[in-house]
Parts: sequence; C-alpha cells; structure tokens
Amino acid sequence: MIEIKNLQASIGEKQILKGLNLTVKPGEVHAIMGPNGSGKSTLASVLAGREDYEVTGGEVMFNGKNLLELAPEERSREGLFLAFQYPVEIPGVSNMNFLKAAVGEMRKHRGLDPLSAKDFLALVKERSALVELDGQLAHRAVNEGFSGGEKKRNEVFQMAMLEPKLAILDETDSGLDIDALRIVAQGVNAMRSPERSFLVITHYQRLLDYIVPDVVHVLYKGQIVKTGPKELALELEEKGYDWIKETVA
Amino acid sequence: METTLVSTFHKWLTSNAHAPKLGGALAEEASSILAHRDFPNTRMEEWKYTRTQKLAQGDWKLTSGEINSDPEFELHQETAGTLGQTYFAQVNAALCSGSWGITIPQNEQIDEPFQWVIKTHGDQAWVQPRIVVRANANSQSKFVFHFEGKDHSFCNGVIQIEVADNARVEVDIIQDNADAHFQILEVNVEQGKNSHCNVVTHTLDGAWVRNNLHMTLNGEGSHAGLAGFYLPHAQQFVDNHTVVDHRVPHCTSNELYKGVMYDHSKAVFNGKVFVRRDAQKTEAYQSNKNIMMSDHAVIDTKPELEIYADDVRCSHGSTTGQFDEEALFYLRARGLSAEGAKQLLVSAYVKEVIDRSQNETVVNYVKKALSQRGRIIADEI
Repeated sequence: MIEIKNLQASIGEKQILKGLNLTVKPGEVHAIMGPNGSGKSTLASVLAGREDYEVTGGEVMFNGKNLLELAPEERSREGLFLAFQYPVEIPGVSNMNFLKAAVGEMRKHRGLDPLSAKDFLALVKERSALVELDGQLAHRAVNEGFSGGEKKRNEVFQMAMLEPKLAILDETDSGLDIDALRIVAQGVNAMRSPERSFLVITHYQRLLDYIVPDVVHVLYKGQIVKTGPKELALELEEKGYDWIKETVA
Repeated sequence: METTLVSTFHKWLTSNAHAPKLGGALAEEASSILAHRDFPNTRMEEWKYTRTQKLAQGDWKLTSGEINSDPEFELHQETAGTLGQTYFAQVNAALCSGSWGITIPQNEQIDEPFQWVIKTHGDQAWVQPRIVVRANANSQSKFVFHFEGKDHSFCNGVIQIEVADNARVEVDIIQDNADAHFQILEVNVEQGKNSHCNVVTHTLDGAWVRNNLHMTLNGEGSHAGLAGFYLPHAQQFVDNHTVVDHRVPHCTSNELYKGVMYDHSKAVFNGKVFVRRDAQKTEAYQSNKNIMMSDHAVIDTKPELEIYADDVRCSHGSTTGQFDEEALFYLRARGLSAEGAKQLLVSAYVKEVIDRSQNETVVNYVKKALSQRGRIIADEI
C-alpha cells in the first residue's frame, strides 16, 4: 500500500522528519503515537502534499507510484485521504457541491461514469448515516458553523464518500467528547476492509479502544523509535512518553 | 489629446449629421451644453482611473442597433426623460438612437418582467438607447436590461427610473461585452416615500465598461439596494461608479460589489454615499470586495462616505486579497484540481451578489452563462 523510506522533511530551517521508515500493507490499521512536536502532523501533511513542507530526502511509494512527485489532488485521486486535524471552514461553498465535484474527480480518475443526481443523493444518505451526520449539514457550507464534533464527523463522511485506499486520520480524536469519538470510530470501522488501510495519528490511547490497530508505532524526534502490537498503546498510556524518551536516550 | 477635449463631441456630431436620430428639445439643449464641455479625461476626479482616449478617437457611426423588447414598446418620437448631469448622459440625449418610455399604473402588480435586449455589433457601430420608466404609486414591477456588445463598437445607454411612493422596482442589468466594445451606462433612480428599488449589475464580460448608477432617496422610509459583480479577464476593464443620496430621514441603503480579477484586467470601484443634513436615522451600508487571481491585475477601489446628519448608522468597507490558501489546499486534498478549487471558491464568492437579484430567470441565466465560460460551477443539486 504505502512504503515510506528514510523520509526527511523540514519547514523553514527546521528539520522535523529525520529519516522515517514505515510500511503499511493493504487492510492494515497502523497507529502512530508520539509526544507533541514529534512530527506526527508533519508526516500527515507531507503525505497529503501540503506545500509548506519541504521534503529534503527519502521516498514514498504509494501503490507503485512515487507519491512525492504528485500534486495534492493527484494523491487524493490515487486513493489517499487525509482527515484534517483542523477542517477548514469555507463559507458559501455547499458541502453537496463540493462533494459532487470531489466524487466526480475520483470517479473520473478510476474510469467510472459520473453518478446520476439520484444515485449521488442515495450515496450521501447512506454514508452520512455512518457517522450520524444530520442530513441538513450536508446542505450547509463546508464546515461553516459546525461544532468540533460535526467537523470531524464530516471528515469521516467525506472519507466514506471518496472510498480511499489509504486514510490518514490526523488527530481525529482531538477536541471530541466520548460520544462523538464513538460515532467517528464507528464510521471508520464501517469502512475497514481487506483492501483499505488506515494510518491513525493520535496523541492518546483512547481512540485506539474504538479503532483497534494492527500495529502501533511511536514517533519521536522525527523517527519511528518503537513498533509493537496494539498492547504497546496501553503500555504507553500507563508509562507515559517519558518512558520512550528515556529508552531512546 | 488636448485637441480632442472639446472638439470630440463636435467631431461625432458632424460625422453623424445625416444619421437617423430622434432630436427634440432635450437633444438641442444637450447639444448646446456639450459644445462647451470637456471630454472626460483622467485629470477629472470622476475619471481619474479610466482612460478615455481610445473612446474619444473612435469614429462612431450612430445606428439604431438591434434592440428587442418584450413586450414590445412604441418608440418615442423625440428624446424623452431628463438631461442628466454626466457628459455621456448628455451625449445620449443629444444624439439619441431610440427612446422608450413605460409607465406602470398605480396599484398594478406585474410579475412578468419587462425586458430589453440591446445588441451593438459591427465595427464603429454606435448605439445610444434611452429607456425612461415611471413606476406609479403602490405598483410592483421588474425590469431586465441585457446588453451585448461586440467588435469595435460603442453603446452609450441611459436608463431613468422614477419609483413613486410605496412602489417596488427590481432591476437586473446584464452586460456581456467582448472584443473592443465600449459600454457606458448611466442609470438614474429617483425614489419616493416607502419605495423600494434594487439594482443588480451582472457584468459577465466587460471589454471596456463604465457604469454610473445614481440612486436618490427623496421620500422617507425608502430603500435602495445596489449590487454588482465583475470578473474581467485578459485586458478587460470594468468601472463601477455609484452614488447613493440619502436626502430625507428614515431611509436605508445596502450596497455590495464584488470583483474577481484575472490576467491583466483592470477594474475601478468608486462608491459614494451622501447622507444629507436632514437625513437622520439613515442606515447605509456599503461594501466592495475583490479577489486577485493574477499578479498583473489592477483594482482601484474608493469608497466615499459624506455624512452631514448626526444620528445615522453607516459603514463602508473595501477588501482586496487572494483566496485562503488553507481552503484551496483542503479542496485539492479532496481531489479537486487547483483550477477546480478556485472555480468553486469563485462560485461561492460571486453567488452572494447574483442571489441579490429577485428575478429567478436572470439568476439561472447568469449562473449558467458563467459556468459555461468556466468561471463558476453552477449549483446542480
């Protein structure tokens, strides 16, 4: 699915990723945990193609393609989805128009005919139900006036509409209460399949109670310093990140 | 340049000596005034940002153009309406190519809009239409003025609207000009007590456009709405000069103009709001916003408020910038091309203005036309 080799990236003068290696196979759910400032969100941004970051070394192969050479929209069409930590409010642009354009691009890229208005609306209804998103929200402007929980549910709803091959959830649990967390996780779990992989980036173990990972990685100072089974998340929660810092030091 | 100042009108008058035109007392009065008026130029405050040399150099040939109205109206036998203040309104009066008048009877509510389609095609063609509307007390009516200019031609139009007490008038102006067409349009609105008038200017394509919209609130409790958008590209030029004149108390006005500037285009916005000494309890809001899609586009924007009353609520604002990079990235991260993402953002941006029109047919027409030209993505759902 995705193979990251020795990835190095910086913003301005500051190097953040310092030789990151990670391989995710189809159908696997990998969690990336780590203390603040370890590079978790940078990894998500670099994979999605945010231009603020400069890749200074390494390579990323995504389903046989050199990911780093692709524009953000090409990465999306190839099947990479980033659920934003801070989804952007876009006044005036209706969720529906936006989604229709996004789904249209995705289908075109996959050689599929455009959906009829009727089929599109049916799909919206089905997929918004996965995250218990009120039908009215779909008709409002993108994320405008949405609560924190609604924004995150809208991200997972969009993911469900676009049916990516690899979904990166960037701290999707931040700012969520326990009910919203459960709903978001339920949406993600409904989308799990043997062909679809997930990269769940989180600071806390809590989310992983709901989205159970196959593998847990610990990111520290721009590198993966520890990899283990799902129990590693529990161990981290118990011992804290200081334990990692001491181990690495 | 110097020689063209006073003599330009004389040149046009001479070369159109035998052209069919209406004439009449108003035309004669206009001609005699123009014989002594300087041709507008950038040394005049009102024309500071607007180059007129190419217009002045034109050897325009007055024609009746191709003007269709729905329903059909009788043409006036001579130039109708009032003289107006501006140079080009007077040029229109002096050499009027066609003048229509319509009166909406008292208490009449007419749902079907009155429409004019005014085409100016062909090199050197010069059309000077004049439409005079009187909406009597308590009436309701809608008007659409659809201008289409092509080739190296010139349309200098005048629309005068009188909105009597308690009357309601909705106006849509569609401008669709290509090539080296010059359009000057003077719209004058005079409003009575508790009247409502809303003018929306849709500049789909503006090769060279100068709009003067002047709304005067003469009766208490009246409301003036002004809205417009422009999306010039290539070397196009669009200039909107507006005046809202609050002369009496308890009136409101709301003005919103938005521009999206592509390529090497240029636009001017100058919005004046006067609140006269007696016009207490006025509420006047004005906003001009511009998005720059190119480093080479130019916008000159100048909101002006002149307030002589002390108990009023007024605001004006002008912003010029680029699209939010974060929003663009968000849309691209969902598979939209950079171009498509911008289109979607432009759609939302311009829609706010288009939707101020109360004429659903016009709204749909304009959205469709803009989407066919790849400027916006029309709502489909």
